[in-house]
Amino acid sequence: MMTLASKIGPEALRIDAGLEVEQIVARTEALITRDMRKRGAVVGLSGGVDSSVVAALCARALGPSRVLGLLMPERESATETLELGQLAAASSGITTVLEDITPILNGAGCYQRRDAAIKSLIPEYGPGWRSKVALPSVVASDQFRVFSVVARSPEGVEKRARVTPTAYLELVAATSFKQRTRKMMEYYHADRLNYAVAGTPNRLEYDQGFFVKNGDGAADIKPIAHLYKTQVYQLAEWLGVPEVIRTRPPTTDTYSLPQTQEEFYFSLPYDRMDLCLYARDHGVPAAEAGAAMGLTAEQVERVYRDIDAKRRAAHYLHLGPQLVGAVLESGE
Amino acid sequence: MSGLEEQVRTYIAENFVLAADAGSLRGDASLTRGGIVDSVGVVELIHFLETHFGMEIADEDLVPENIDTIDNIVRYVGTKRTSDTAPTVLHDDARV
Repeated sequence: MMTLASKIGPEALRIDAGLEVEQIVARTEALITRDMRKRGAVVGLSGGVDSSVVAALCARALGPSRVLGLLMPERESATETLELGQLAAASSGITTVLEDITPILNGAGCYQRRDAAIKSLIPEYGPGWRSKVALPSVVASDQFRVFSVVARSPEGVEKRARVTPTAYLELVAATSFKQRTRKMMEYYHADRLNYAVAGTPNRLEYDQGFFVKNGDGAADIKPIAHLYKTQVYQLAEWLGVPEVIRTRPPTTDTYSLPQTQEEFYFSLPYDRMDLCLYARDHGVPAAEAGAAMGLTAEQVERVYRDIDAKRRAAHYLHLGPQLVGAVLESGE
Repeated sequence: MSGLEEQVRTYIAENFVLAADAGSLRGDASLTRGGIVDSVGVVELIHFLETHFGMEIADEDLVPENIDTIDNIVRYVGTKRTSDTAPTVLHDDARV
């Protein structure tokens, strides 16, 4: 368990990785086999540290032969995604299935709808262009975090345009096909094997709503949702997740241009974002938190406000279907 | 209440459910910290100001001092409209 440190700093997030693994493994095994009465788990492998750790935890909890790793690249995935996903599976001893989701995304109109939204902002955008969305830095200024679309032509000319409401919502809706298609495939394999689906959000993502509702936000169990990203790295090291995965910078792997998670969502790189979230939750004054992270009190105040705003937005994402009348639930 | 303020209040009342009683919303109340306008709402609000008042808002102007309260919006839009529509002063040597 995490210990409260009197002073904010990396040590505040230091955990006993072996003990944490033991507890997660015991709880995962109990939830999947006894509560859910499922025979194993499906894990979508992105080649990132979160899914690699979840795969390793499930393999320990259920046995490697009862865990299926799904590799689900699409035409805009980073080239290393597939290779690192395979590496994670090999290190946990689990088997994998490759599902290229590009045809499904094509069929759903994911790329076409996304491109139309971008073209409404950047008329020159067309075949061969690549794109991403980006936010202004919270730390650099007090500017509202309004997305811009950044597009690069095949010749390397970069264009940037601030989103309109219609384009923004269309862009998010279209790109969310990726996460929702992956989840659909995970449940297909889970159903055919009588397995559960293990989700891979860490605490930052879960708390701050960095997921697509009914996409990567959907799962039967989320074994690392209580752990800060820093702590997931501690588990990764303890579990022997390959170093190349542990040293890879976190990425969204959703847009065709390279994009960091800070550009897309979080205010700070994950290690400082972890500390800010921890500090916010433990009532650490902004000045004290800032001193530990090399930020001013004003910058930390802005990050705190960003955390609060994201929590308000995440409320809807966490809500399950709401009933408006009482129904006796099975097992009650 | 000025016509400009009324237009802003009406927009907020009609578009942000929590602000249905926008008439009673304090002019100095933060729209974002008060949970009235979320991140999508900020994009919508900016779009409304640009299209309704025919102005272009630069990225560096998207700060709380300009658009986080009704008072700030009214002041910012009022100033911006005045400066955008001010007649160009020609130097003597530029006159035909």
